[in-house]
Amino acid sequence: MTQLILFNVFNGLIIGAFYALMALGLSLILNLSGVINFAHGGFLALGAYIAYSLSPHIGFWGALVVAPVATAVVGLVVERVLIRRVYGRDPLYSLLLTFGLAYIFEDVLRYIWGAQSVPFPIPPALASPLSPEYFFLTGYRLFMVALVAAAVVALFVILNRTKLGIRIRAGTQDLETVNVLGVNVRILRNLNFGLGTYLAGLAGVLAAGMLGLQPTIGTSLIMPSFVAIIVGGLGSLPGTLLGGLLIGVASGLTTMFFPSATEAVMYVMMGLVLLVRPRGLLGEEGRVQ
Amino acid sequence: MSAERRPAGAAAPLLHVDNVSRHFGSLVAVDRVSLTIAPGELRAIIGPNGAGKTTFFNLISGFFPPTSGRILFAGTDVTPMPPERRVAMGMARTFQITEVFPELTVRENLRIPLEVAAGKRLALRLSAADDARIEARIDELVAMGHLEARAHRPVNELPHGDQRTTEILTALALSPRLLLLDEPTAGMGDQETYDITRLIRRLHRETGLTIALIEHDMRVVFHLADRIAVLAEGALLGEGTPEEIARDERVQAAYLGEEVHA
Amino acid sequence: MTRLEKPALTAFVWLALLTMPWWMNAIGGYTELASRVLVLGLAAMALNFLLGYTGVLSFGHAAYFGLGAYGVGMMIKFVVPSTPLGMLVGVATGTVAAAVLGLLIVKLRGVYFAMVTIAFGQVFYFIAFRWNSVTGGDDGLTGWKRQALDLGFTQVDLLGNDRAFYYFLLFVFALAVGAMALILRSPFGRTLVAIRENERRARFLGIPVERHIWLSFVISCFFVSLAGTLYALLNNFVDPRALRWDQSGNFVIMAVLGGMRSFWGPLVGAAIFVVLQDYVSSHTENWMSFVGLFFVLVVLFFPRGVMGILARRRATDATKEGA
Repeated sequence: MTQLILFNVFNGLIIGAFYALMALGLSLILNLSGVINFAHGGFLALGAYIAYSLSPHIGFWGALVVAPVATAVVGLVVERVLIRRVYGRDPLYSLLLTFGLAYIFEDVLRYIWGAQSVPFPIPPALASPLSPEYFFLTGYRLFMVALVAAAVVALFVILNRTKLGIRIRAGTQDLETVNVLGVNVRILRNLNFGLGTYLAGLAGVLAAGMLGLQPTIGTSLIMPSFVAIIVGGLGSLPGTLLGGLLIGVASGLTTMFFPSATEAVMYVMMGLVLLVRPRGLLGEEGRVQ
Repeated sequence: MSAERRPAGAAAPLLHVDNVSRHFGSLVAVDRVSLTIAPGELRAIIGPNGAGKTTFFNLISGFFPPTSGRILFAGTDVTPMPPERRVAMGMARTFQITEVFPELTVRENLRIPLEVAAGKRLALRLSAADDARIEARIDELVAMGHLEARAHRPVNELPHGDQRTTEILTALALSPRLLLLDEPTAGMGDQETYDITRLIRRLHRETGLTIALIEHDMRVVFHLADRIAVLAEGALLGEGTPEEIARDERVQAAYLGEEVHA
Repeated sequence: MTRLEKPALTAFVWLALLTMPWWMNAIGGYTELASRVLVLGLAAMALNFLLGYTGVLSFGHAAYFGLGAYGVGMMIKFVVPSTPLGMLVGVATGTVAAAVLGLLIVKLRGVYFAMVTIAFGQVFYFIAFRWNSVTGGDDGLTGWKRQALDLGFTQVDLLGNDRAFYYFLLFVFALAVGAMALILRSPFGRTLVAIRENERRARFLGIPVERHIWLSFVISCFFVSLAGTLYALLNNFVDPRALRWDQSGNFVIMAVLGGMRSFWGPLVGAAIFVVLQDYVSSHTENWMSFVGLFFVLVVLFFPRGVMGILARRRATDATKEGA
């Protein structure tokens, strides 16, 4: 029993780590540019498929390094060509634009790589369980949790220590002042979008190793990321992280006791949070209105 | 219009602000201010930028609650009430930055508050009599603001002064007992300032409407106000008739200085 | 705001709708396509009640559309084989769900409102998807059909006769659209436009903004549920896609494409969208890319929609004539 609970909590943590990684990228973009990037799931899937195509040539580790960067490059281009045009307009338009992009992503991925699910091989060293008793603790899963943790730490270091990160945070608070102080807001938003899509690409590679690959992998992960942001609180990256982990663990535990409610439970949590604390667990005051 | 609504025993204050403070984090925007406004009074509130004047108005009108203290309107404690309930009790306000319904015409801007004030905000139709009464009131208000020629145009196509006049008229459409005006002449030219000042004076003299206004233009303040309250750094620095305020040295030191001669 | 549309345009729209089964066939379509335009047009107009006339960005209307659809299907399949009773249950289901969820979201605004409505919309998708035994899960709810309409003196064969069904839809559509127009022209409707125009001003003129947004949300969802019931009747089938997020996005794009500031705009948008989707999906496997591209193009080049462009052209012509 204990083992089963541990198994499900751990499973939930892994799922939650995915959600969080994806939601952090979404949050970054939303906070600085006011755009809900509906195509974020598309970027995730793109990262996963690029890794799938690269790994026979440069191996898993090479793909893990290159695929997120390639995804970010696509992100930079997409921002520059399309997303940029809807800044400052009614949020309706950015939603519709990224919505359309999500469609295009999914269809293009299907066109190139096929609609069927394909396996994504992970290094054998990571694939085997660490001990027979805790069969679910494969090296890959531990590695994933560690990598997500490292990525999150790196993100917060970037945001707090580097010039770019400090500017992103300042721009989130007050874009106009940052602009007046001589920061090029266009470039800032572009790089920020790249950073967000890098995280999506990274999440994609990790997800591919665990869930296998199909064109809809992105769209199935984007709703939980929304929920993570809402539960954690708009405008707060630590909140997003917390929200992702919480809903992951909650889904994990629900799978065990009441499997058909696995997805519904996170929405119930969202409802409760909105009822008790509309701005989310760590959300800033006044941000929702 | 408000004269008949005024309670008997007019000595009771219409508005009583009782030791009210508002903090934003560590910033004290309004610091233990107490103030009463009598029915029929025209009160100006002045003070340097950042003195907390608009925050003070926001507290009175229910934009946000005070951190401490109470606000009594016509003898009722309105501190916990949302803005719409204060409006229903007879409090109306305008904003420092003009707030109108930009894509609607002047007449439509006025019709909405008139219907709300007539208790018809949930109605699916108006009787012919109600509609005629509202149309007549719109005519009156439009005439009061000298906007007859432009009444059928969307407000966002009108000059700034007419937009501000429209906003004041929407507040008047509620037939308020207390009208709060936040810098009614902000951003206006001389002619527009003159017109608005005249409109405010007429309202006050002819209908006995109680008015509180925040204003930077000292000509307007000294021309209109029965009494003046001075805020500085969130606190009430002084209060009195225009003559008393002009003589008050603390007020001059804190704020007036050269501006009173300008 | 009270002037919804010019009478001439309204007359033209009704004429076009009354004759649609003929001209739709003439331009290479079929009666069922006309029916789909009507049903999705109603859904887009219902959404626009909220989006265009109250200024509130809901991206989760498919949920209530789908609840209406499942409501009528399950009622007919499991309880009473009656079309009107099924519709009643479908509409009630969608409206009650909206009334409850609406309470949670009325304080939210803008992007945040959109995000929460999208996310909540998915709850019902997962329920329909997972609750196999009752909803048929991913395969959809099958094994039921719309029933003939018993008017007492005669029976109307809705199932066998495409045209009869089209006019049944048009009748329901007319009632719904008439009711929406009545509400929008009323003092209550004006408070909604006031909220769209300037929420702060509306609140400080005595309108309890949250309560009115809630009412608008519930009314909008009432009509979208009604459209959902018609959609299920049209297909004799419901599947979870009826309440998935992409369906919500389709409603929004229909409203935007047609013109959010126009009463008939969303219907025009729905007509273009439905016909285009039918055409594209019969010619290529990759219709998703086309729909996606269509979204992008509308946002970049037609943000005011067809009716918005027409209105602006009329306005410029008028200025030119005046000058």
